[in-house]
Amino acid sequence: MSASPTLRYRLLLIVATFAIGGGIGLWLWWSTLTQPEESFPPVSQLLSLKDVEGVVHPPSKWQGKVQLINFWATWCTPCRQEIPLFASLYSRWQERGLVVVGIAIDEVDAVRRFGDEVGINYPSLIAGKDGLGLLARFGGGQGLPYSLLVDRKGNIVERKLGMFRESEIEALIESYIGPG
Amino acid sequence: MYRSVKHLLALLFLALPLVGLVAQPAVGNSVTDLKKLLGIGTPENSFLNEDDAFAVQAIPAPGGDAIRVIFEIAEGYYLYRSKMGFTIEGGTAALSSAELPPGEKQEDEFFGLMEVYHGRVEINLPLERAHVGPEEVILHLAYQGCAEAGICYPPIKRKISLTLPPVEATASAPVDPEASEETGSFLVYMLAAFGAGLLLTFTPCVLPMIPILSSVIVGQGERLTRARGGALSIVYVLGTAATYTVAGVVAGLTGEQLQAYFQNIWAIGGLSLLFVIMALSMFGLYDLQMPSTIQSRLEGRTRGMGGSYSMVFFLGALSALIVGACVSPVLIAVLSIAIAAGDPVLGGLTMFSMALGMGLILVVIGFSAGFLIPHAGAWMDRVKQSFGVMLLGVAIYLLGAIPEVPVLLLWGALLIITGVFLGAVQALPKEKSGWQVLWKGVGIVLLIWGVLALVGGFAGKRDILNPLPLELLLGSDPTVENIDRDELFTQVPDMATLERELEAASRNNQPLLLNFYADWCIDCLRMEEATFKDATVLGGLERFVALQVDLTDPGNPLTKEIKRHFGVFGPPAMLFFDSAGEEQIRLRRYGYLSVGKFNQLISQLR
Repeated sequence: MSASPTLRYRLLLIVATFAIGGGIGLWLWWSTLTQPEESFPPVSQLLSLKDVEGVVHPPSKWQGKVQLINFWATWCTPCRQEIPLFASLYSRWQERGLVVVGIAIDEVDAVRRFGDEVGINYPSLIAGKDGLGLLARFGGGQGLPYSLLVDRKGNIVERKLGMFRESEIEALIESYIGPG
Repeated sequence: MYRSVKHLLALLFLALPLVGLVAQPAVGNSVTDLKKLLGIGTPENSFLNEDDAFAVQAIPAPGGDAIRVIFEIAEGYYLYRSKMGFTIEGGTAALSSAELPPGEKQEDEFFGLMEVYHGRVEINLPLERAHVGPEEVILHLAYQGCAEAGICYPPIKRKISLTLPPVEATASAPVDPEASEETGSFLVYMLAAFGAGLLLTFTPCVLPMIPILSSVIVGQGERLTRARGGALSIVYVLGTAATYTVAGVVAGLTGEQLQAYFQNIWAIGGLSLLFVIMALSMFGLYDLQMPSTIQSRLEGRTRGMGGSYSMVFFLGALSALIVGACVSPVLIAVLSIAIAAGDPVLGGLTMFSMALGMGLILVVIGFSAGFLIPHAGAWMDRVKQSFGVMLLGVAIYLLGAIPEVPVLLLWGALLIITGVFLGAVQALPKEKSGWQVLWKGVGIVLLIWGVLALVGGFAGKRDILNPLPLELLLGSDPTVENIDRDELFTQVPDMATLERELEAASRNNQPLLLNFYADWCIDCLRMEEATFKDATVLGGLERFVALQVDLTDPGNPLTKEIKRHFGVFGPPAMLFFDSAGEEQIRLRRYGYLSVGKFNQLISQLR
């Protein structure tokens, strides 16, 4: 028995439709599985930390701004390499409502010495040894540098392990900062 | 119609990604969604977790005077030399300063010159010990490193429990520059390993090789001379020794058991198939020979030796890889010398001499074959056939390591067919000789055994020596039958779970059994089928928390971590913890444990 060509192609069409439909369904199901549902504490819990001078910075200080929060340490070479980029971003976008906040998982002396050498123009806070727990609470347990981007409403909208490319972070800031 | 269908399909395929995009629920910020969709911007994507990036193990030196810490740093990752820290607690041992090898120099604009480690780093920690006996200590390690792709890991802290061996008077030998002493201890190792090999003679590590080698020798037929039988067996043993040497070198380099990687369905299946082919040629179904042109050329080149030596060498290497992967305590002991020493040369040489020790019986058999085995005639055919049956038996024995193979059915078939060949179902002629009666009797015994094996096989049993347990016939012992290994043992996937279980057990004042298992481990399967199905063992284990770590996948980092944590060399391994949660090192056992031995062990735990 051999099916007529028409019948065969109709069968093929039906099979193909099912296959494609199934494929899309599977893919959707898979992507819901792999999209982690993460929840972080509100960013307002993040920042009651002192800077190198011992001044406490309350988190409310930066409400309504786009915040780029960077976890780093002096013992982390890539972190140090990234700092000049943040300094440059801050000086260029400060007017339009960007604030960069450095959080050092490090000791005050090392941070002060590094700051003196390189020049950090944005708020630089010290989390000390406890900083690792803080880092982990915001999803960054794996390593440094680790950065969060917070929109004007205070939601964490991006997180990044490792160094930013300049074009990448600029595009992100541009998309969140609005006409400001 | 044809064209339109083709176009429609093409269109559908083109539209597929678009459909996906549209179907993706559009929530939140569009930039974020787009990035998520394209799989970028998720932080954890491309970096190894810290334990994979910086695998670490600590091994006490055989002399008890040092600990060797080995870091395996993944490619593209590095550790800072200056951030290494080691402390020790428990026991009487004190660390003198760690011997850190020089690292690669890196100029750091902030810290100045830094030294970093890539690849494998071995750090020697010399110990000062007041107590000379064995003792347990905990080594604390601190280290910090980065990925070259641009992240640094937070400082890492790890604890490793170790059992230090007794301090030896000659413990300074490995560091001693005097060569004579070193070769002296080398020689001792070699002799000990050779002796260990001899001990293995009548274990499953060697026994299956006897029919394999014998078949090869018998298969020589008329070309078999006394010298040739011996030479062939020596070549075969050298083949096995080659494998064991490589295994020893690998163990010395990486601390891994090479053979674990070959205990898979393809390797076992392939070798079994080869044995079946060899067996069929033993039955004279065909002649297993190379094409005559090749054969004559080889013969011409190696006159008087025959061309099959390289084949026999290869067969030896292969048999050792798969048949010889028996985890007997003796083999473990020898391999652990190589692992502990971390020395590939020592590892290779000890394993080589052990293989020679194991091979001695094979060489003896090879030489005596030249004297004992007739060269032609009906008697010779009988000998060949019986080796063929034994070879098939070896093939089935190997396949038994694969859980999917209904091994008892194969045994049943082999036994029944052999029985029939022996005349079990034929009437004896009127003028029968005593031999004919004997063979028929043997045939009937095999036939009945085969039938029992078939019945047991259909009931899901796997042990040819006990194919049909009495409980099965009587249906009397439902409790035993109903407890399978999943229920007896709680599977432990990772270190964190294990720690929780240990804690819970000691809170409930319960002793704990930690069993290391793998599908490819023949002794593990034997224990599952026999020891852990025995009613007295199950009764004795009732007060225990019974945990199992499945090492079937040798690459699984989570179970590898557990293995490393306890310094376990391979399955089967039984670790016993008392109700205070302390491992009783003296009760730790590798290899097969019979019901009696196992019960005796657990009775020692309160």
